[in-house]
Amino acid sequence: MAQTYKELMEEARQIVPEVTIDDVKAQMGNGAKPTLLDVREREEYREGHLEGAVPLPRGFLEMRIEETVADKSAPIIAYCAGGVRSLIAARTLKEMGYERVTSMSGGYTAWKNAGYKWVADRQFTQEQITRYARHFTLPEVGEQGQAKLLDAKVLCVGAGGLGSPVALYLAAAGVGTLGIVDHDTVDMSNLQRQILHTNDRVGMPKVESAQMTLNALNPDVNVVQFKERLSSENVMRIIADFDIVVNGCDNFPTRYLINDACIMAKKILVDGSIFQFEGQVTVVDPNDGPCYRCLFPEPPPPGAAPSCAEAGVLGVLPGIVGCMQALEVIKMILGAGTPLVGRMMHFDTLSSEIRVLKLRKDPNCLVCSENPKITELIDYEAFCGL
Amino acid sequence: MADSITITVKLFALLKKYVPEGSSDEISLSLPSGATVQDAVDVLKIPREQANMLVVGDTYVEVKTVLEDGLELSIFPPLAGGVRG
Repeated sequence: MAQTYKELMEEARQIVPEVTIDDVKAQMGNGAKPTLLDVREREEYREGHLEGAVPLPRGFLEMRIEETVADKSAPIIAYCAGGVRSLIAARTLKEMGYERVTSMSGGYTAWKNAGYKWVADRQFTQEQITRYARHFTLPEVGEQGQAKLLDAKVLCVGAGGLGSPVALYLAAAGVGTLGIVDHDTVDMSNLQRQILHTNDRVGMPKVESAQMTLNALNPDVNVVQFKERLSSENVMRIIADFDIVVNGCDNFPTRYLINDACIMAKKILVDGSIFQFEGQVTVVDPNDGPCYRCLFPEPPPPGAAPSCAEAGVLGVLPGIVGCMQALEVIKMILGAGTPLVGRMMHFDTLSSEIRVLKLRKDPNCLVCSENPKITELIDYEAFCGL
Repeated sequence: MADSITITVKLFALLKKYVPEGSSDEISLSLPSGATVQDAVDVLKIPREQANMLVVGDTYVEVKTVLEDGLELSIFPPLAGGVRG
């Protein structure tokens, strides 16, 4: 026999125990960890919800509940705005075999009116919701991950072969603040690989060209230009406001300078380097190491390692290595996966072989050991014999 | 115990110039048994300061590590670039 709405609700109340907002508050406070299931629409959730609540709109409930709560004997408290939708949702869950489902009477409105703690997720604009739609779908990113990306501050040292793909992909991903350090201007010979720049910008400072490209791609990104050569005098000022430093520099003195500065200033360093057909990527956690000096305590003698200008380079290689650096940056920001901390990826493009090496921390490292001998920046040109 | 061992050495990036003439990229090296990583580096005439990252399998080894027959030693140099101007 067909049921009226009133009959339906009465029946649901017979099946589903209701709990008050005070019961829920007590349960949250006593260490019981019921799943708080917010069955309202996504927009309602975004504007404010109980702390730790899982969003699962009523319309998707049956489809997604089993991946949200796999254990059918786990306690679940469903809530909505006023307690009606959650009662119906909880009844459905009971029918699906969930044994310990309750519905919070009065809903989020009563909770909020009582002055109990609620949190609001970052408010995305309609454009952001569309732009980052493929991120929102990934559980490892989602809205919270995207908020982390938008709040992140990443410094790219160099707007060249490595810095171009790094900056492009980080800007596309919505990293909110991107610093670009480069004192150089765009040269025609750069365009074979430095995809931030274009033919009509030859002669333009690379930091300006970079900003034009990055903001054309994503106006959300605050690009901060540093048109200067990184040195012992300016590096601490430049890296101060950033969380992560991406090394796309082209010489050993700067490589050691950035390593030492990042250890001293406690900044995460995502290092990338290339030679002809081979590339290396590693991540230095300043609190944990190992650092670049643990791997290479001494720079190669001058002349032993020709620069890419002398040795040549295939443009795709910095493209690949820079993309791997961008990936590591995003992993570090999101806290997703296993970053290349304590490991180095070596990529040989000619043999198509990727090797991941376990690195070891040098207990006598001059910079990152427990009793470092170098605690201030030095003259890195002289250190490298230049 | 055999008098000699045979190992494979792989050189990377700018160390490739130390691959002996006529050898493939996978260098087969015969050494007296008891030879160390440093002995292998010296036989290939690689300057000691350029042989920082010495790896067997996926793990670092020290220059004084004694080599065993059949293992593969990889030597990685630091890479500079980036690409200057």
